[in-house]
Amino acid sequence: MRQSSRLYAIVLCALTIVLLAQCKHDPPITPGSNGTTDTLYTSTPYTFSQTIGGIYSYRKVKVPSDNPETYEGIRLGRMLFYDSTLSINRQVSCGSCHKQEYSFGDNQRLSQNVHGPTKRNASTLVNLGINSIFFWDGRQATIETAVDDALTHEQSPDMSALFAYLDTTPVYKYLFGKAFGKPVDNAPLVTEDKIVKAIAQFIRTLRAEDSRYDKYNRGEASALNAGELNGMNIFFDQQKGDCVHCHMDAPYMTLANVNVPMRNNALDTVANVSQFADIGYGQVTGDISDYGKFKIPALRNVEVSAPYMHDGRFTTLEQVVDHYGSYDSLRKSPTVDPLMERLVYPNIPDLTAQQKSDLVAFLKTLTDTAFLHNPDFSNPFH
Amino acid sequence: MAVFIGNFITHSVFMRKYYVLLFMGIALFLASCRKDPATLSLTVQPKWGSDNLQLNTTYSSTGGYMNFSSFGMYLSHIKLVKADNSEVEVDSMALINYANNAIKIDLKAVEGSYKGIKFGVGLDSAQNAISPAQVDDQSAYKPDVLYWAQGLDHLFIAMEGHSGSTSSLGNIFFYHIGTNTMYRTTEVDQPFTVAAGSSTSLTLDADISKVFSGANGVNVLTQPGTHSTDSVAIAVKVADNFTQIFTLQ
Repeated sequence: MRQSSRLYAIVLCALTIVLLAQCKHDPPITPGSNGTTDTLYTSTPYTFSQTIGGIYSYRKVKVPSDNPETYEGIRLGRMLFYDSTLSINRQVSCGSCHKQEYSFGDNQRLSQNVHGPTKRNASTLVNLGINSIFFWDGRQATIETAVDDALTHEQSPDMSALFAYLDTTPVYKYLFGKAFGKPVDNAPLVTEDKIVKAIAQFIRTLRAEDSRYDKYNRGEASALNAGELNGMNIFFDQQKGDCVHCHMDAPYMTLANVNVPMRNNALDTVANVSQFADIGYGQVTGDISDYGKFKIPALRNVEVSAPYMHDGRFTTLEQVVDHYGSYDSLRKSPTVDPLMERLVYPNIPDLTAQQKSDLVAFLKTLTDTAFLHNPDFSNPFH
Repeated sequence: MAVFIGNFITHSVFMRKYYVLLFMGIALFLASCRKDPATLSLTVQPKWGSDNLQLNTTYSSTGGYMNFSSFGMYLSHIKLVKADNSEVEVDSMALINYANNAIKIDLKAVEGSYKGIKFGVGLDSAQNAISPAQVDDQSAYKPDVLYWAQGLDHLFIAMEGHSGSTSSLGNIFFYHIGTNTMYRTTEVDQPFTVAAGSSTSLTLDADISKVFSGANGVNVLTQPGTHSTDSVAIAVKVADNFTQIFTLQ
């Protein structure tokens, strides 16, 4: 063969290889497998239906591509969630403020972290897979970053001591290996990233979709009684309860947005927005038009998640309904929400005592009792 | 290696010719890749009079002072219109979720000379029936923006904010315009050409102040809100006025 044709052949082959390599798709990654057949480092994918509450919902559960759910990851996350070793004083776990019986919220008015009382009531953790706004001030956008934020600020563990503990505790060692695979090139088995991802996987499984209101939406007309149905109508009527403007995600009452998810719900009167005791979302954006705004909270399991509001000021649902149910109780401020119908139309009649009690009865139909007692969610150390 | 290549290049006259041909082939191939198609974009800029609309900034309207905390709308069936009134659709739907920056929409660049553009404010009934459940999170029909629950489908226009007879703004307003009867189309004329090898950028100004001024203007203090199913007359006024606020540059 002549030298030149040989070179052509070589160049052609090289080009073909380069081109084919570009076309090649990455093989699907099996979490934790790392290409090994070693069963100590393989995990089992966990799948759940993408929509919460079935056909009535339109938000889909978001699972990040770099943190697929696995049974081992969820089991690990559940242990880490309840393990107070993940805090600087070894006394505070996620579960300290997020208690299952309160829909993973806190019955304390102001939740306590390792530094003492915080200025806010811990939010519930329910159906968060469809959520894209986390914390009362809306400062995080994914479960993973929210977990990392809480771990860092509320629990502040000594990371190297924590890694050493997890690395030498057999069950953790086993689960980190199963969930996230065999570390390559002497990478550590336990990392902050893996801790956060495992906890996020567990939180994503905390789904409540079987309340009486869900049953009603799925066609069981008898699931709600006459008073509760009246309460439901008050909830959705903008001239009565006017709850729907913010809590419009009706089918499963998890989150609500119109096009502005952060709102000021007329809790305090201030002449100047800098006078708000807690500026909320304003602290995140630095924009004075966001002072006094907070995330619209989930109403799912609201019956058991007292106290209410970012600062836990209301201890009962009756107090909450009193607040929204009359013009006089609403407090105006420069950032008060434009969708508060009673402020636009002051002549809307106050809710009557009967309407208020029906509205409260309706709110209680949003409770998923099985969720509150689901053994898969409970403290594995008890 | 250098010797090897040198050997190859000078190998024979025949091979050199072959080599030239190869180069010509590559050059031709590259040239064919480089031919620029026409491009066409539409930049939607909400205005208040001659200023770009700024959220949370107080403006004076006929009815009173007002300050927008949010503004959004859908545009649909954007068409290019020729002098003979023939039309070609270049985008089916665009979401304008305003956050103080103009929104640029890439349109299908159909070459030709046009007298203007035509579009709907809102969504047509088929589009309005598309549930966020049917689309992914990246879709402009996505649930977090301009969507009503309770079977009312999408909002076509949403404006919310604070108002007052003085600039201290003690009141609030909200205009939620939707339902199929509120869908309007409008044509905005200003000649332009879409030609091969060139980029055409159109700017569509939307002067919101016109909704609140003139004989048919909405009074922000006495007509402070509508959900389109109540205070229907106000909703109709807003929808009608929106056909009059656009200019093309």
